[in-house]
Amino acid sequence: MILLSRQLSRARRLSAAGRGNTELVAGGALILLLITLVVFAPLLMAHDPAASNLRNRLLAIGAESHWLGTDQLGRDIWSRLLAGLVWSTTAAISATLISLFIGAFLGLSAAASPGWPRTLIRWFTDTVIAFPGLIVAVCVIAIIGQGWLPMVLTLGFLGWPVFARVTYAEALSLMERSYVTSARLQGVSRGSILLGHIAPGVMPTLLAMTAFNCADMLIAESALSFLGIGAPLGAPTWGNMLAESRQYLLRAPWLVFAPGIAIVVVVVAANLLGDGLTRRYRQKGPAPLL
Amino acid sequence: MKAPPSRNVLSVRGLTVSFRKLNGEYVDVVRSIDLDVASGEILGLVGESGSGKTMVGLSLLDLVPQQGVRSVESIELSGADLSGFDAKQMQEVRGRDVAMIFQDPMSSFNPVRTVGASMVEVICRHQRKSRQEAEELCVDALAKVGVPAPRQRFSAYPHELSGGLRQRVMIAMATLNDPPLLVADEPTTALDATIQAQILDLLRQRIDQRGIILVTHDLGVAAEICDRIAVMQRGQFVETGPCVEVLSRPQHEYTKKLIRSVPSFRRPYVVARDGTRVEAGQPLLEGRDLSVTFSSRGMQLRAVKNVNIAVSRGETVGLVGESGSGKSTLVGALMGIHRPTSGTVLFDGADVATLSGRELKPLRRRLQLVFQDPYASLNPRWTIRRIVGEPLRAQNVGSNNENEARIREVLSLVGLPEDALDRRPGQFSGGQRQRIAIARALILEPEILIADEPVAALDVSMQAQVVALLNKLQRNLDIGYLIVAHDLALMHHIADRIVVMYLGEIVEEGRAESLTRSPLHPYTTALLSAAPDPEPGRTLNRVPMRGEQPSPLDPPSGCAFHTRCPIAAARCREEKPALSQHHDRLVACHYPGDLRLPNAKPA
Repeated sequence: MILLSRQLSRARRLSAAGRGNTELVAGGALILLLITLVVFAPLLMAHDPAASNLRNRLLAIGAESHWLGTDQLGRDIWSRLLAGLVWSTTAAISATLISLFIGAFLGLSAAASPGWPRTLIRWFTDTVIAFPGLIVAVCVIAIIGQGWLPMVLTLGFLGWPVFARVTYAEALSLMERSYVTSARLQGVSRGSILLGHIAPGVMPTLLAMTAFNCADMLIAESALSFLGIGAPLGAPTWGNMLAESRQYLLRAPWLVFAPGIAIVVVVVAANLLGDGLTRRYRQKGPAPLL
Repeated sequence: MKAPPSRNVLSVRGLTVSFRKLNGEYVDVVRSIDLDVASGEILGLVGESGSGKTMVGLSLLDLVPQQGVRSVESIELSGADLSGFDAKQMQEVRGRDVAMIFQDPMSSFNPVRTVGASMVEVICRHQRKSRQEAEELCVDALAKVGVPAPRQRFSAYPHELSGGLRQRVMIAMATLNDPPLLVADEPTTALDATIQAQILDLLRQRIDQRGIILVTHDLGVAAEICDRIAVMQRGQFVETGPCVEVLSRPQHEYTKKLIRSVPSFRRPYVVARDGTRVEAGQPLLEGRDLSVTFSSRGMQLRAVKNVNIAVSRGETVGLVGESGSGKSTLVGALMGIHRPTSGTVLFDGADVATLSGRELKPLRRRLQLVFQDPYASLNPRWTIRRIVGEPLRAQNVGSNNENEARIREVLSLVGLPEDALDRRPGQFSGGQRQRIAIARALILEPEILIADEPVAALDVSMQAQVVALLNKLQRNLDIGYLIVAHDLALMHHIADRIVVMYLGEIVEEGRAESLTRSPLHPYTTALLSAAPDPEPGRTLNRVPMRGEQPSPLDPPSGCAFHTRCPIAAARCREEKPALSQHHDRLVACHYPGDLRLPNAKPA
């Protein structure tokens, strides 16, 4: 009962937070819609996204039983879009989470340990930033082959430096606050200070960054697939769909528009959410979200 | 000295400033006020934070922030009515007919341009002058405000100047176009008392036929230089009149309360200390021969030099000095924030440096610190319960229930309601926050409490409350206090012993009442004479103290104070005076007591 009322008050606080913050509301609603699509994707797919049917090649939008048309192999575009949504968004989110955890961990460690550990972490971060992403991706694909996991790992391990830098800078400024000095003087352990004072302080910024980064990762994933070094050939991802549709641009432009618009929608949703979160924390100060 | 109020430079009728709140309602921060400033007159706008005094100043220049709306019946500035002026016309007025002096000159200068470039721009914006002529005018103006070597300073960048010099340049800049009205918003609040005195004198000298509006929270400053003062509360003038009249015979309750809350040497403080002052007993916290040196890029900054200091239970020690004198570093060394370069810190006889982290932990319970800024010392995300309970968790004492009871007890001790427990710092005022910080420091029942400027960030009425609280706690819990402060008048009332620091060294130490009545070191004398005092009728005989504190990176030879000392002799430049017993005092001067206070204060 108490739990329920607490949940209710949380929900009320959240809805209050959204008031007047159009970005947060719009972004949140879009993301919720996308999540619903991902969860119910198997039910919503009218056809097997990989099933080709050469008799129904390049059907236009509005065709019977293929409302978004078919591609050059007669595969249902709507089903492929959904499959691509699952493939691409899970890849983008997973890669972002990997970046977030590595970045936050290294950033906090660097801030908490002056001296050589800090120097080492910062050198390492700079080194990773200096790596050209595309070449690393090509190398990884050459060594371990294409697929969902290699791509996620590549993107995740290339994307963390920006999280590390922001975490480090924010944490360092928080460590200067006198409430942290006060905690140190009370004999609070370094771990408790990091978890109790520093991490929650960095959280709002990281949350907003995560949303932005998801959008970036989605684009990176599509770009890699488009170039043929991301998802395996023929896999139903938006990047692959774009790549394959190139040759039919004049005959069947909807092949390009469908994945293109889908990418734009997801990227806009993630950016709106990120903007909304940023604005919320700037307005309200660092109140806890939950 | 005061020019007869001949004609009005400024006369404002029915000025209202409203702000739009988040929920769309409007709230009036200034409510239909009328004000007049005569030529050659300084009008002081006095009030506590949130009274709307700054908004009055800004609205005269039509600089109200975006969410604000100004409405006014008439603003007459030297005969012209500005109330109907549009943005472009106002831009012409600003700088030419009215100029503003801000609190922090660092943020009002463009950091990437020389101060000279900024000044020339001000001239060329309003006058047709060649660059050459403008430069000459600027150098002239710098010389007039007492900037040494004005031609070199002209091409200096803002960060190369000290706070006092920057404020002088700001004044020079404000008077370049000879505007009939100056608005000075807390012009000396960021400065040390001795520099503040210099700047106030300068404002007085440079007034000519101008009118000046001085916005200040400090009644002492207002008493020093204002001809008339207007006391503001919640956006309204509650009392206006000649300065001496208002300060000596206040009519309004609020004015009376405000005046009572300001500590003065010449009358008892609103918070009386009962009982006699404590004689120092067996010291509990002791710094012996402490030095702290910071080094960076081959430069050595000796922030604290061979300082001996001791605090025992039940007594209050005041640590006084200008910024940069090493007070905070000394506190840091005593608390273990800075590692002393040499010397030892003893707590209850044990050398703190030799103890391991685990052995140190029980000592931390007995020694607590209250920070200067109550806005930075509480984690804004935490509830008050969690903040105040943090030391308990760190020390692993008590069960949850016991701790909860303790948190409630200590909150009621500092006079906060129980429903504060689940709120966050953002919902409390500065004074309440400082009480929360004090509650956190008290929850482990320390024997020594060090407070770094505990009331400097607070309004005077809040100050009095916090001081009363500290007194009560000392009486009940027999705590020893080491209080760092720059306000000598306040220290005069609350400290048993006062320690005066200059450039990292103790220059004088003695019993509070005797030290403030008859200081022996010329620096103490100068500090005392520079302290603004709200009691009217005090003559403006200041001890002349030259220039500013030298850089601690390159301290003067001999006695460190000789560069500014009015009675320095040849010996002072060569031979460093040792801190030695003189009457009831320790003093480091070759000629102790030779410089007397110009107007001895009644005992």
